[in-house]
Amino acid sequence: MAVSEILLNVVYYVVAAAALGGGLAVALSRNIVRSAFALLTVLFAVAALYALVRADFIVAAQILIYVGGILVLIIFAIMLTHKITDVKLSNESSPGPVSVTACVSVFVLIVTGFVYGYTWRTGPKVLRKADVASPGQPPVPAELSMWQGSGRTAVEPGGTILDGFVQLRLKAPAPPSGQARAQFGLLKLKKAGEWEALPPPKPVTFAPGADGAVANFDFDRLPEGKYRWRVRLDVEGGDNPWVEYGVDKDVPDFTSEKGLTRALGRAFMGPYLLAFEVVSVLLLAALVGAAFLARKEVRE
Amino acid sequence: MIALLAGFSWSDIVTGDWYVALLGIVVVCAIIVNFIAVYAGVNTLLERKIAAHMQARVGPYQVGPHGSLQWLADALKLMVKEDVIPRDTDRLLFRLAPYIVFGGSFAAWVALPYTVGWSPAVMNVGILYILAVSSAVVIGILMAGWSSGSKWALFGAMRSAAQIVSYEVPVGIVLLGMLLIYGTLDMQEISAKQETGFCFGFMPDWHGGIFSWGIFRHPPFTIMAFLIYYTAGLAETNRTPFDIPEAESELVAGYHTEYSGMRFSFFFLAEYANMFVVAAIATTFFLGGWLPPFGHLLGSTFPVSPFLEGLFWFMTKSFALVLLMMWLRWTLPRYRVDQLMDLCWKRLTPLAFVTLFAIGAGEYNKYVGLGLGVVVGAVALALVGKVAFAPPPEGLPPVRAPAKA
Repeated sequence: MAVSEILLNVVYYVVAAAALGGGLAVALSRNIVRSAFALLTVLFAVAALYALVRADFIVAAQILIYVGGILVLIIFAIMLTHKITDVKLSNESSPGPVSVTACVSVFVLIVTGFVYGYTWRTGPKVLRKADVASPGQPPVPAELSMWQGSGRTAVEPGGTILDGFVQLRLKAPAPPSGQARAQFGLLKLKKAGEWEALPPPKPVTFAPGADGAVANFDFDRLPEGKYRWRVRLDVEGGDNPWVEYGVDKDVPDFTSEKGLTRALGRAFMGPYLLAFEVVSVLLLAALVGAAFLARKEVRE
Repeated sequence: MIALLAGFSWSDIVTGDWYVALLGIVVVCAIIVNFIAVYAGVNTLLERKIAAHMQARVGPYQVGPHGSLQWLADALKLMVKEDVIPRDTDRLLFRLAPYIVFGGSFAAWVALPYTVGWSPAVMNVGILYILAVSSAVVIGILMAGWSSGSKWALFGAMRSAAQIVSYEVPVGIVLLGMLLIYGTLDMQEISAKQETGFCFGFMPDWHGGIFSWGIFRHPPFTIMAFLIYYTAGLAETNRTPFDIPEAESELVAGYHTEYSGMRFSFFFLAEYANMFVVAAIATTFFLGGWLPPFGHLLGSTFPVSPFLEGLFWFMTKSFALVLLMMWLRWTLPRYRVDQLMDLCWKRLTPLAFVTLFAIGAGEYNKYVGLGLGVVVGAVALALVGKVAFAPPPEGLPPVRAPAKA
């Protein structure tokens, strides 16, 4: 495991522990004000978890809404409650053993059901099988795939990569001859139907693995735009054909975008417009209700 | 932490240049923290000097030439002072609160666009992130007020939180209107988009210098938006005339009444850091960020380095706005609580909606924007003229007694 992956894992576990610890503090604290403040830890830790999966807009929205809005409201409500500091209002009343057992088993059931019921994506999803050929050698059947985010998420054809970072991979069952290397290339969409080949990066030598030979290449900080990618066996002196994904189609292999904001905006203003508006009507109704409750009674 | 995760070029860490990324984070954070400390120190001195001269006094004069090293002496005093924790406090929260307040305002600094193409953290959600992490300040203030176990602190905290939460509404709406013009949340891109353009979207490729800045994109609405933002920003930083959370005559010192020594100075640092953040956002959204005011008329200010040039203009504009805050502090009297809420909800918020609507209409069609601008501008000018040249109302003594014949 590379150092960077260890680092990511460490960050993940620290953040997850902070979220769990904060949650426990919320539930177990004997002082209700402290419970409310412990919620701050939970909300920030959850935001950090969102950041770990590159959901930048969700991070900002989470903090803005939950910390800036809801948590402040909760603390206000607690502080404005009459004589809250005198009465030790909290979770001191311990529930009976039956209810504890019931709650815990339901929780465990839900979590186990989710973990085992969900199809976790464990490996790279093979996008395409192709024969890569080098002159004078039999063609090698190869698998092409595209990953993002420390190699854990496969990018579907036509998908979106964030922050211009994508890892391309060519995997062959047997190691090709010694000097063979893989050469990855990108094409960027200039106008409709017009693709411009970007200057190809350095070829990558095949690294023999347990189940074949693998060549990885990371493209980093790609400018925003639509891309297609291709690969070829690079043999010195030879001129091999590129193997491309979806040559005949005009569809790009992936789109590079900075952050989630644009995709979310399009989703809200497009397919989910009705849901979005309905939610805002709901909020408006809540606001009207609050104003009604808060107004003074008019004595007749 | 969040900034670290969300902002820094994440792929550096993923692709293996993790030590570069980590080193960068540490170095940048160290620079910013030290800069905030020095800047806040110098600003305390500046504020005292401005106050003194506006009130025909001299101000600090003992330490250094003309008292110019007073801030160092103050800092030293604060650092070596005893850290008093009163008996009736919630000790954990009492100790924690200053760090949360300071952390909230410090975290906003990493996303500011200091110069051409460089922010410590280039973030796609820049402005949203800044608004979000700033909300931690409210929590910290409430924490400080509650844990102090003192009625003055609690009152101050409640007032402060109510004020900040209320004034976030016009700030959000006004910035939303400006975002309609720029079409991005990224602070760097917002700055860059003010390089070319003109009122109402006419001449989008013109290098107009000051006339391409956000404040002149949809006059008079963007000017109105700037004034609303600046006013609400003053209120969010608890500055005079909106300093009712710390009103000395009523509340001793507000939410930090019980604090002393280093913990107190953290609140102090946070207040000055927040002032700069408000000024920097105003600079970025309305005053062209790091762009020089002359467009391409005079060439670049510092031909050697666009980096320094951008830094110079960004800092100049931001500090000018900070200075204006100090000026206002010694000019205007304090609002009452009800006046403060009245100003926010009944005046600034409806006006903010007007700017949002008008900017949206103007972005949709430039002739609609032009028409709205001319009509509303004429009405506004007429109103200002009416107020300015109105005779003093009856029943009140005239400003100057008329000369008796």
